[in-house]
Amino acid sequence: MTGAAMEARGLTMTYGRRRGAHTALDGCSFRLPAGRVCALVGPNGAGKSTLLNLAAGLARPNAGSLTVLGSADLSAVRGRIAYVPQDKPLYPQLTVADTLWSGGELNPVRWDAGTADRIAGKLPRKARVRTLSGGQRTRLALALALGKRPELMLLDEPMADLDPLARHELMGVLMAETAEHGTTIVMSSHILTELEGACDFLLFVDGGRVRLGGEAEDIVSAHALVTGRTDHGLAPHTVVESRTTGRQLTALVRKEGPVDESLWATTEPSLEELLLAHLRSPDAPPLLTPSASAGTAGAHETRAAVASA
Amino acid sequence: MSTLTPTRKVRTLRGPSRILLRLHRRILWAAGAAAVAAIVCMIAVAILADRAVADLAGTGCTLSSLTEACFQPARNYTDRMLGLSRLLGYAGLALIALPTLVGAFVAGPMIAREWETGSIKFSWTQSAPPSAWLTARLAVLAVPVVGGIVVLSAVLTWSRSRLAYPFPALWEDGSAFGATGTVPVASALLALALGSLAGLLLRRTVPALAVALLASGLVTVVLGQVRDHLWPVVKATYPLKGDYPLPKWAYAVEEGFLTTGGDRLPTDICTSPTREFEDCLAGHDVALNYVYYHPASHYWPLQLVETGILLALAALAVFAAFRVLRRLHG
Amino acid sequence: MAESAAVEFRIDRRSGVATYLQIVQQTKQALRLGVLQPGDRLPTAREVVEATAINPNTVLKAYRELEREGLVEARRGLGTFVRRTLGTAAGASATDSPLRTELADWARRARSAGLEKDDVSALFTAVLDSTYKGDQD
Repeated sequence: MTGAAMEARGLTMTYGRRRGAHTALDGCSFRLPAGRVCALVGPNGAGKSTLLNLAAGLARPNAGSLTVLGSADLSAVRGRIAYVPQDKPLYPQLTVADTLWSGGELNPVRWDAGTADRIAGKLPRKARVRTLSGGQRTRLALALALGKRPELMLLDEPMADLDPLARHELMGVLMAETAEHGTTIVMSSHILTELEGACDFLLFVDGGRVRLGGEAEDIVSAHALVTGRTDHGLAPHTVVESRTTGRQLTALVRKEGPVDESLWATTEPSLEELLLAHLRSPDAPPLLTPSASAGTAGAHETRAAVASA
Repeated sequence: MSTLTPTRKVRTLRGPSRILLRLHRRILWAAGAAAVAAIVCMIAVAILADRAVADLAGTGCTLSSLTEACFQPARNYTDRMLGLSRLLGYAGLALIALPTLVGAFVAGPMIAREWETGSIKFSWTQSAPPSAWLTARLAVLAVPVVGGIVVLSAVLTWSRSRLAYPFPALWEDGSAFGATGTVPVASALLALALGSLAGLLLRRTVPALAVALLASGLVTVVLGQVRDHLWPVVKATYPLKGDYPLPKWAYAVEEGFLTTGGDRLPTDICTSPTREFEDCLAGHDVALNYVYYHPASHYWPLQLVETGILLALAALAVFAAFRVLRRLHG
Repeated sequence: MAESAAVEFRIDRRSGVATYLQIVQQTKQALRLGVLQPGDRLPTAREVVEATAINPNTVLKAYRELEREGLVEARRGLGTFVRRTLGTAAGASATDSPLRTELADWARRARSAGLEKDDVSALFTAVLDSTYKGDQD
């Protein structure tokens, strides 16, 4: 329970050379404890897909280190990770049945055919992958990923192509997976509401770095939405974003100690409000809770074993 | 090295191999059917050649018969043999081109296309490692390709042996040397290796296919050009008015005149076939005719040297392909 | 799985009420209504999250809260079971219970006195608040 599913230090990844080079990750550091369901959020082009690609062992970073499931040699843990990239690539010329079969062929040791088949559900087994809709492909890709019985699932925009019913069902399946096996799940999205409720850990990536990282609850409770008179100072709190209307000041602050509630009307922001405020304020300092900081042992691991409940 | 290693290797190769066969099931069946058809055709050629010989013998004529009654049967016979020998010539050329086509197929549809469909991200994130993915593409394909080429080449050799005079099967023929012996297998292995290297380097179906085609085509053409020099020729001289000293089935690589000083002069140095011809030769101080040739016994040395070159290149290409593979994944 | 669970939870993402609190409240309501009775098994975290697509830790947090209040107990390897009921289940919920009859009478009188539904509701809440002042929840 105390291990890290992923740990990145100074991860840097640049595509292209010299002119036209694009820095996707820029000294990205964080830690993701095992067993969490992590929302990897951020604007388009923030480096989410690059990070997942690196973790899946499909590319090597230009600088920095990445440890996955305790191993710096990512080829050694390939069998324990399931990666579902954004475009859900599969062999287009194979049928659904053959694709499910190929999952077993490529993962002979851990393959769980029953699970894969259950999640593939009503997909027509004789249909070729190239004829499937986006949502059907996602379902098949998730069936293969779960059939692998992974310890870490890396899902890039997993819900984007799904209709609301399938989204609810498959999210339920993923949650059941982590409830039963303690699987760590990383789900990227640029729409937070897609993941809210399912995720208990947050990595907010922007500009190639983690700007907010940690237990979703801790991150929310570290901030406050305050409203009061402009002539009251907000020190010592860190102001992430503020807006003045007449004599009224509304601000999202990162709390340094308790907020004086005699001067300020205080409410807890929603996760979405928090992210929007940070997106609008690129200079706000990053916040990584102790459990999300690379190099710490994840100070307080108080979670009970999920599977025993 | 524990005794477990080989069985574990086999296990990781099994999955990728079976999937590869499933992915390209149709083209593999089609290729097999084409090979069977080619074998049937070559056997038919041999049977037809035998029948032509029998028909001529049935008329009681030979090719050297001078009677007018034998003129038409002899002519029929030569026409038929000429047609059959041409067919086998085409078969030989097809067999020489086959490895190049296989290499192009590996480069494009089998390897580069995985980047175009994105399925490489699926192939390379399973328990079976990328090295198994590549090994499957090299090894699994090598088995049927080598097997098919061995059979095709053997049938072609046998079929060619049925052709009789005046169109004997010449071993040094461009359409024969590269289609018989050990060369076709080695050139298939090289084409496979070059194909996988091109596919991994370019990662786009059409360019990879084209480059693989070009690369192994180039090797075939260049080797065809330098083939004569891969084994030392036998050098012979004979008097200006003497008999041509070439043994049967030998193949002349170069001939001309030799001066008293030992210089070689081309055969066309003196062209006019009259009295001046001899004066011309004398003027050039020509003493002897010379001829450099490969006797039939050089067939195997030539085959083996060429095979060695092809296999060495193939080994280099495989090594390079695995290096590129390592650079491509993390 | 020995037997199916006695209740299922509905999660409303837009209610503004924390998800774990929704589970706590729905469990308590089920206890009050007599839907859940002592000895009943609550659904496992796996069952809840498969149906609701929420994080398993949320379910565990709710169950810990219920356990802390002494309403349920976790039995290792078996599941989470109801220990006691809330209020007088039969008394509170049955349509012919004395409390309900009295309240119905009172509501009729309020109506005939000319009070709107909202006024009645506000009055009821105010009385409720002053009566239960100091209690938890």
